[in-house]
Amino acid sequence: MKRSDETDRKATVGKRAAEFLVDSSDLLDTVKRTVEQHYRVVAEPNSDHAMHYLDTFDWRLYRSSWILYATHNKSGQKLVLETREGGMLQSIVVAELPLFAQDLPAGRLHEAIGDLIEPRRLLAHAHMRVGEQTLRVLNADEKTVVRLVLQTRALRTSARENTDTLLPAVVRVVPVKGYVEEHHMLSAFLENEFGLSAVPQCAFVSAMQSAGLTPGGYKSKVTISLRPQMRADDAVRAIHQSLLDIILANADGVRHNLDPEFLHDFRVAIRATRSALRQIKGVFPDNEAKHFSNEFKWLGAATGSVRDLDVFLLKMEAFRAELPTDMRNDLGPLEKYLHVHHDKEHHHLVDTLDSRRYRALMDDWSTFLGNPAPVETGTCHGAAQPVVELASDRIWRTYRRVWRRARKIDEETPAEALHALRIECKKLRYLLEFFSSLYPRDEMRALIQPLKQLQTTLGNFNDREVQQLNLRRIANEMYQERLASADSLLAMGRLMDHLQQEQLEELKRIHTRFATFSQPDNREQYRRTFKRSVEEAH
Amino acid sequence: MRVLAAYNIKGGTGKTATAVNLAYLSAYYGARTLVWDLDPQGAATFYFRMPERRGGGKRHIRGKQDLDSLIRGTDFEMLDLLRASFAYRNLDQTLAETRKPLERFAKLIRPLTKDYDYLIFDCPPGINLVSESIFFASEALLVPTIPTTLSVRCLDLLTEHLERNGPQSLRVLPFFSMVDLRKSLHKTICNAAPGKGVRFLKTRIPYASVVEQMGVRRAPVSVFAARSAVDYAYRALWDEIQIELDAPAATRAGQDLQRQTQAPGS
Repeated sequence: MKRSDETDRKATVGKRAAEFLVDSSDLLDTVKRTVEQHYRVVAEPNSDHAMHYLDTFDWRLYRSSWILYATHNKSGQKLVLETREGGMLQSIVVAELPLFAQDLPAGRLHEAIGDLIEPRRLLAHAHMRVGEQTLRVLNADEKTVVRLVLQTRALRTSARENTDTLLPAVVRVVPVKGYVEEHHMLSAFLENEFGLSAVPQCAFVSAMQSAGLTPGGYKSKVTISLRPQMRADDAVRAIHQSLLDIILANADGVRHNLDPEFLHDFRVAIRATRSALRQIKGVFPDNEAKHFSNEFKWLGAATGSVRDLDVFLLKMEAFRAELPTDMRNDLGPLEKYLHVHHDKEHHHLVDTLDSRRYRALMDDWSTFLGNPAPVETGTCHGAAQPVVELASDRIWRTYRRVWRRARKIDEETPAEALHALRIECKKLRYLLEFFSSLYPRDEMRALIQPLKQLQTTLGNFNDREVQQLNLRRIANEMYQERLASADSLLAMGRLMDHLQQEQLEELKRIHTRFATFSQPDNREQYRRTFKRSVEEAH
Repeated sequence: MRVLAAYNIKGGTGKTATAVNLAYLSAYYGARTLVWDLDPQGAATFYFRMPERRGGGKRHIRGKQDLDSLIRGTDFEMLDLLRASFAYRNLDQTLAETRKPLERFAKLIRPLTKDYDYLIFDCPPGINLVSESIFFASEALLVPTIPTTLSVRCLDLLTEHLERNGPQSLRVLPFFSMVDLRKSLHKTICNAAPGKGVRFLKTRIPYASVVEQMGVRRAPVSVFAARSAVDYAYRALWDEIQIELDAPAATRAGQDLQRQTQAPGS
C-alpha cells in the first residue's frame, strides 16, 4: 500500500478499543460488579447477536489488514469494517449481506475494499454467537465517557462446521472521542485490579486461530521452501503436492461456481502441474509422468470453455463502457447468450468433477506423491541429484529458449509466434516460482518482475486475439439462431474493432517490455544465478 | 462529507431539534456524523450532556486552534459534537475581523472532510455574517418552518435574499415543523404549499411534547421515544433529505437557486 493511502486510512479510522480476554464467566461477573462499584455506570440491556466473519476465499481483506464482519440481531444487521489493529472505518446498517463488491453499500466501505475483493465472493469463514452487555461509564453530567463491552462468545468455522468452540469472554474498553484519560483510566483499572492484559490482535482472528482455522492460510501460488541439497525427486514431489493442495482447495468453489477466481486458480495449478511434469524430466519414471501429464491435460481442457465465458462476462462492464451510450443496451442479448452458455458449460464441468476419471486422477496422483518409489536408475537418472542443480539447469535452458524466440520478434511477427513465446515465458515463470526458495529472494524478485510484465503484455495480446475469434463465432451462432438483432450485431462489431485496436496497442508494448526483459543487466543476472550454478555442479 | 445546516432566520422553530435528531439518525444508520453547535445558547450541547465551552470561541474560528481537538464523542457511536461556546455571541464580530469572512467556515471544515460523512451545523437565528459564511460552506439548508404567517414570511425573506446573494450551489430544503393540524391556520398553510419558488419537503414534524422532553431526557427523541409519531417523522425526514440530496436537478424539491425563474409553488 502506498504511503498516502496509509495516511488516509489512519485519518479515517477511529481510535482503537483495548481488548482483554477473560477466561471464566465468573470473572466476567466480578469485572462487571467491580466496575459498577467504582464508577457511575449505566448497564444497557443484554443483547444476543450473531457475527459472521467475511472475507474472500484467498483472504484478500485479511492480507490487506482489514477485518470485515456482519452482525445481526432482532433489530437488523450491520456491516462493520475495521483495521486489523482495531480501528473502525465504518459500521453501516444493511438490508442484506453483500456477496460481491457490487453489493457493498456505496461510500467509504465500498471505496476501501470494493476493488480489492473484485471479482471474488465474500464468504463467511466463521460465525460467532455473542452475548453482549454494554456498560456506559458516565461523568458528573451523566454523559458517557467510555464504554465497557462484555462479551461471551462461541465460534463455528468453515473448517469445523458442526462444532461450536467456546471461547474466552472478552472485555472491550471502547474509547469515546475526546475522553482519552477516562479510557486509559479504565484500561489501567482492569489491568491492575484483575491482572488482565490487552489482546494484541482482533479477537475474531485469535478466535479463528484457536478453532483451527488459519486466516490468510490459502495461497494461490506454490510457497514451499526447498533446501538446495534436497534430493530432486523429493523437492519436485513437494512442489506437486503444493499444487495439488491448490487444486483440491478450489474444487468446491469451482463446482458451486462461487466466483470466477476459483476456476482460475484451479486451472493455473493444473497447468503448472502439467508444465512441471513435462519440463522437469528425469525425476519421475517417464511412463508415469506421461500418464499424469495426459490426464491433467484432459482436466485442463475440460475447464477451458467456462473460463473463456468467465473472462467475457467479467469484461462486459468494460465492453459496455467502450460503446456510445445509445448502443450499450444492444449488448444485452450477448450477455444473455454468455450466461446461458456459461450455465451449460459449467454443468459439463461439474459432470467432469463428478466423473470416475477425475476421482481416479486425484486419488492416483495423491498416492503417487505420497509413496515415493525408490528408483534411481533408468528414466529417473536425475532423481537423486541436489535439487538446486536440476533447478538451475532447467531455468537456464528455458531462459535461453525464451531469449532466442523473443529476439526474433518484430512488427511482422505473426500471432502464432507470439503465442508460442507466451507459452515459453509461462514455463520459465513457473520454474522461477517453483524453485524461488533456492535462490536469494531479492534476485528472484528482480528477475520475475520484467518477465511478469512481458507476460502480461503477451497475455493481453493473446486474450484480445482469442476474444475476437470467440466474438465472431458467437455473433455467427446468434445470427443463425436468431438471437441477435441487427443492432446487437453492430454493437458486437464495434467491440471487435475495439479489441483489435487494443491488440495493436499491446503489440507496440511488447517491444518495450522485451527491451526491459533483455537488458544486459537482466541477462547477466540469469547467467550469474543459474548458469554458474550449473557449471559449478559439473 | 456532506454539509447541512439547520437554519432559520426566525428563532424557536425547531432548528436544534432538527440538527440533534437527524444527526442521531445519520449516525444510527452508520454514517460518521458531526454536529457543530454554533448557537451561544448551546442547546444542542446541552442535549448531548456536555457543558458549553467557556471562552476559546475565537481562536479556532481564526484558525489558531485545531478543530479536531475540540470535538467530543457523544453518548452515541459515530456521532460527535463540536460544542458551543458562550463566546459565539460575538461570532459575527470575530468573523468580521478575519480575512475573507464569507469563506471562513468552508475553510475551517476542510480538514474534517476525511473524518466525517455528515456535518450538521446547528445555527443561531438571524441573518448576518455568520449565516452568510455558513451558506457558503453548506450543501443544503434544512429550514424547519412553523405553519404560521410570520414563519412563512421569514422563509420568503430568506429565499429572496439567497436568490440575490446566495451561493449558486446551495439548496434550501424547508419542511413544516411543530405542526398541529387541529389548528385551522396550520392546516390551511400546510395545504396551501406556500413559499416563493420553494417546494416544501413532504415530511412534516408534528407538534408533540416529546420534543420538549429532549431537554429533560437530554437525548434525541428516537432514543427515549422510539416509535413515537415524532420519531417516525424524523426518520421519514432523514430519508427524504437523503433522496433529495441525490436527486437529479429536474426532480428536486426545495429551492434550486440555479433555476430561480421557476414559477411559485411548482
